[in-house]
Amino acid sequence: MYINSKIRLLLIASLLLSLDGWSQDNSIKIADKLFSEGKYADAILKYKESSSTYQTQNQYINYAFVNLKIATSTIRLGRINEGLELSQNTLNYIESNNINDSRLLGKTYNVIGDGYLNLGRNDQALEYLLKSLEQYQLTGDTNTPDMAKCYNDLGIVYWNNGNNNLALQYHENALNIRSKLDEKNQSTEKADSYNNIGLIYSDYDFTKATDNFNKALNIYKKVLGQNHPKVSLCLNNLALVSDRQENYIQAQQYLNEVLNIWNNIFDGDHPNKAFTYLSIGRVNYHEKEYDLAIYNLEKALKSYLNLYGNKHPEVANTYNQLGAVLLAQGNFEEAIDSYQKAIYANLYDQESTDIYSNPELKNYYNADILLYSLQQKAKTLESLHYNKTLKMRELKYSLLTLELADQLVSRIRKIRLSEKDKLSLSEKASEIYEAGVQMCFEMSEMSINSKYYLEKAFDFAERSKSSTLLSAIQDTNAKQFSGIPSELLEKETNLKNDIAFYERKLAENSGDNQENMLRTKLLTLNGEYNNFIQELEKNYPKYYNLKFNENQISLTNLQKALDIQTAFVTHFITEERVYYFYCTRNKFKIYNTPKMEKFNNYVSGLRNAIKYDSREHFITAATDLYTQLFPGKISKDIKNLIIVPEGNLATIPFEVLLQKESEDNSFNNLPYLIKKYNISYDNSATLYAQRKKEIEAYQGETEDILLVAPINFNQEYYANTSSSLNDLPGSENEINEIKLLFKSKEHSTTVLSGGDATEINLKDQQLHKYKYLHFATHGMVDESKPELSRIFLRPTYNDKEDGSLYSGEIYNIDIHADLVCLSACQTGLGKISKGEGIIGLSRSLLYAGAENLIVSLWTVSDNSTSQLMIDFYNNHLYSNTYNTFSSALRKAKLKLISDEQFSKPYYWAPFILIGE
Amino acid sequence: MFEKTKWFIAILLLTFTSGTINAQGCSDAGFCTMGALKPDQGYSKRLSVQIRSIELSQYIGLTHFKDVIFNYTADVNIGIGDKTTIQVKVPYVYVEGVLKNTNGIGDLSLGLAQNLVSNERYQINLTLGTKLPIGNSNLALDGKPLPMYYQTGLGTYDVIAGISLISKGWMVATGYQQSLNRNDNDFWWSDWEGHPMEATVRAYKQSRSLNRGKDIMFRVERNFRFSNFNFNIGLLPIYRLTKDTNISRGGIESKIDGSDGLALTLLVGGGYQFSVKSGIKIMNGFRLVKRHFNPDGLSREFVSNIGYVYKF
Repeated sequence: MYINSKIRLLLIASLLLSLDGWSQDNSIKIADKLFSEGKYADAILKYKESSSTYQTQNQYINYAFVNLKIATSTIRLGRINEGLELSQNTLNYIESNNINDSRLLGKTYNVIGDGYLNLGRNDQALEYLLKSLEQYQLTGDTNTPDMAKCYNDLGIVYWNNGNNNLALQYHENALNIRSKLDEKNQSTEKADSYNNIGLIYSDYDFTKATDNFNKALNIYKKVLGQNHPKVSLCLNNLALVSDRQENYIQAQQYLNEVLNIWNNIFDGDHPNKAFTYLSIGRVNYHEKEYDLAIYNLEKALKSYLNLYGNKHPEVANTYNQLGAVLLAQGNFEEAIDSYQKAIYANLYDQESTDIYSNPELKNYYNADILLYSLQQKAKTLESLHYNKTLKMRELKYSLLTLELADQLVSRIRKIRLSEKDKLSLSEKASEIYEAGVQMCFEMSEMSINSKYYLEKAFDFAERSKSSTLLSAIQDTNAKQFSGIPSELLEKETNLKNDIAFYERKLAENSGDNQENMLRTKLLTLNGEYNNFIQELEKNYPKYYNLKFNENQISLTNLQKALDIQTAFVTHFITEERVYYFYCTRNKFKIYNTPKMEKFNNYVSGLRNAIKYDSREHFITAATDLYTQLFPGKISKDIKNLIIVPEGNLATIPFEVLLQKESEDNSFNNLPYLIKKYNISYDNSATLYAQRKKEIEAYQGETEDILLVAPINFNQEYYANTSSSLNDLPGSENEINEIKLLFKSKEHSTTVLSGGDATEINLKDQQLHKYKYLHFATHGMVDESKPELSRIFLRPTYNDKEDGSLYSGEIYNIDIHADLVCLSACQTGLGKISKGEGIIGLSRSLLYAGAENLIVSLWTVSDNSTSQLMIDFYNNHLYSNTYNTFSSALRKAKLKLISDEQFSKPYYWAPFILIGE
Repeated sequence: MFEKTKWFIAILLLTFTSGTINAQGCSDAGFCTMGALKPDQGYSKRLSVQIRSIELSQYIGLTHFKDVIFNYTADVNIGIGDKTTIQVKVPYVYVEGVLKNTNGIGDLSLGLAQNLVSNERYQINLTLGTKLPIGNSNLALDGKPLPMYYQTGLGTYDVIAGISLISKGWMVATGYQQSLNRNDNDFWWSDWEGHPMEATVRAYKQSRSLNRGKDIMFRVERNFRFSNFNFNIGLLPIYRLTKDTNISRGGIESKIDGSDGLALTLLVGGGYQFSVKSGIKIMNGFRLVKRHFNPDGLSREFVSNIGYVYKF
């Protein structure tokens, strides 16, 4: 009986406990349901009930999890600081109770990161989210909803700081996990990923953005109904895309729908509601309904100020938009005031004193928004000058603000992780440099101290040239000179090789299943690489200093670097103007001329006229372009021109430009620029001066040449290319002749020809020991996917060495050659990137360490190329007067010009020299 | 950095203080300040365009005879489209002289300026205009008509045509002015016989029914433009192609020897823009060469003009 009673008691107790557990589970389920329906306040009440129960029962882990849910719901309600405090308390609770649960810790860090994300503190958010990722990885299960959420939030953080490429990778991986977990296509988290991917595309690919938003919207509506906050957010995003596509009616319709939903859900202020008012204001602005725009923007602003106070990136965003409206209305002072407020709303701990004051660049929430505010402030100050005051003061402060924006660009460049995002930054920054060049030039004309402003114009123009390439080269040099052990450098090379490999594979797009695997792999590798670099920066401070040391050349130093016979010529081209910078040792001048109508047509027309052998069009284009591009006189003493071509000018050889009209229009008698000058090219004055120093100090290990020529290009070898590659029999003669020339000079030669010209054989060579690398082969440039640009060698039928030396691979090979000659088709072309120039093979070779480079601008003729190359090396090796690369190449070209058979520019002009 | 505003002010002061010695005057019958022929015209492709303007100016002229002429002018310009501007100019004139102080409204000028060419480097503008004699050209002392120096109007209907080329740094202009009638001035020495001022009066050329000769002008001006101020220096030769004529009491028309030929003025000036809408302009003229006789009264040893321009 006694026993029975005990058993009975135990049974009752156990029943009570299980009933309690059941009721607890049920309570959580109800709360989760309320949460998923967006009823966060009700959800909090239910979670709190569970929280008390767990606390009573000392279920620490469950207690912590429920509290995190309360924190998340609070954040969703817009009470972010409160939510953040709750999650911090949970973390303290976990730590004080020594709970060692990676999943719980991961979740906690994630919620804190989420809170900081909502507060606009991207830096803090990133720190916690990376901790969260680390904890989740410790659980060993990476295909969980929590991991996907962490990827998702990291994607948002990286998107916020402009690392769009990396952000996309995180979101795609989150989507991948969520898709795997969602068999019924009913996962709202999956829809979240579509939504976030859409947001990244909304900056540049509206079709993809809309497609992703619609995918998200369908799921949200199906699962959550028509009036859920997520439906509303998604509609708001669709409105943004419609607005960018100038479909304002559609945008307004979306936004009205959104506003109705918000009004049903939220009483009073809420960030989502404020964002919708901001969006409406933006559409009003684009529709030129300025009063209405101000009305809606002020509503948004009031709401944001109530929610966040006057320090938050969204507050800054709203002030920026208000500034734009006020500027459009011609209220210049008010617009400046608004931009000024935007600037200081973006800084945690600085306050504006007056509209002219500029802040210190520290402690900002969002660098991109700050950059925009600074740019617009500068622009508005300039407008105030020209439209109202005419006082120099406005221009001076405008210039100071632009310079500050430029400094900010340098800082942002440090946190941009991928090449793509760095290039995109260069494009954005080019607007600052354009404004800077224009303003400095105009200030030089209205100031007695014009030289000061002209030098500043030069500085701005120089900053617009190849900053990304410069920083990449600087990074390589920094690693070389900062005592980093060779095994670490090797590790880095391997990581970069792997990244390049997977990027290429992804670009080749091999189907869905593999694509997901490639994306995951790439994300992991990028994460590893970023961590690796962070460690290097932390452990080798010298590396950090060298890497980020500002080293742009000044005008004075450029002039010192030039010899008396050399002129450095660069252009800066805007929508309407062409600025021509002419710099010699003793003279510096800027010419500002109107851009001729259809300027770009002239550039492409020149190429086409050469390609299709149209003498008349060639002469017109070459003469008119010379007039446009050389508005000033070149001094008599000048014999060498170093040209930094801007934008699409990099696709034409300046050698063919005609200095005057000629009575004799036969091709060999035309007054080509090459007839008067040795011409070479460079990416910027800074890179020119750097390389010049290196060339002067060049001490190669040998005087050797490596000659590479596959000669035959059987289509079977190159199954993965659509190009039909014809054989190059002339290349065999070319390398044999060059070999003889070198042998006669008693230089050692290594030849990889025919079947020996394999990618693996090339990589097995110790390339850094050669002074000359000569490739007589085909090249291919992929303008849309520069990573697929390549030099064709022979394949060896293994996965990695497929006979194509891709530009991504070239970046990672170690070259120390004085000259790399790509005697192949179109190797000098590539994707034209604003502010960076051509992104193609030449860029990767320069990065890999080539001091000088000969590349071609169009498909070349086998025979004329062969002759040109042989003559070039002959001049270089045997002539006393034409032994520099530029003079040797010029002499070889002049010889072809004088040869009736090859006098057309098509034959002699494609090869250009970069460097020297 | 050198303070440019101070430099500018220094230059302006220099022009005021150094010029009065050996200064010479302008012989403008009106065309030098008409439309495209005006000195110190604005030139900027960047500035906000204001198509209407009103300029109020005060002019002080010192003559060879110690007369002082004050001229207050309202000059209104109204743009019609991008290329055409109509100008209406009305002066009010005060003369302080040894014979008498006079004052009254001056002659009305109407002009039409048309932009012919406007490109990156320069613009070419054409002006056609007229002067209408709404001022009095026969004011008298004790019933005796005064010389033209004392008259507030020239008394003639004139036609004016001119063309100018303006670049950022330079302006060249040429114009032609011709009167279409004799004026109604009746100044004749014999009327002053026995008058205490007879000796003084005889210093002035007789201008009864004066027919002013035909003028051509050429202006060359170098302008130095900064953000909101500018200064300029120029030469203004005016050549009278034909001699002035008068008609004696006996009805005989006589050509006045020495009334034709070159009058050359050196002009130095500057301006300060308070904003895009308003600014002041200062212009000083120094006589370099003058005609022997100026029966029309258009001879100044020194002129100084200050004006306020409001654009809207």
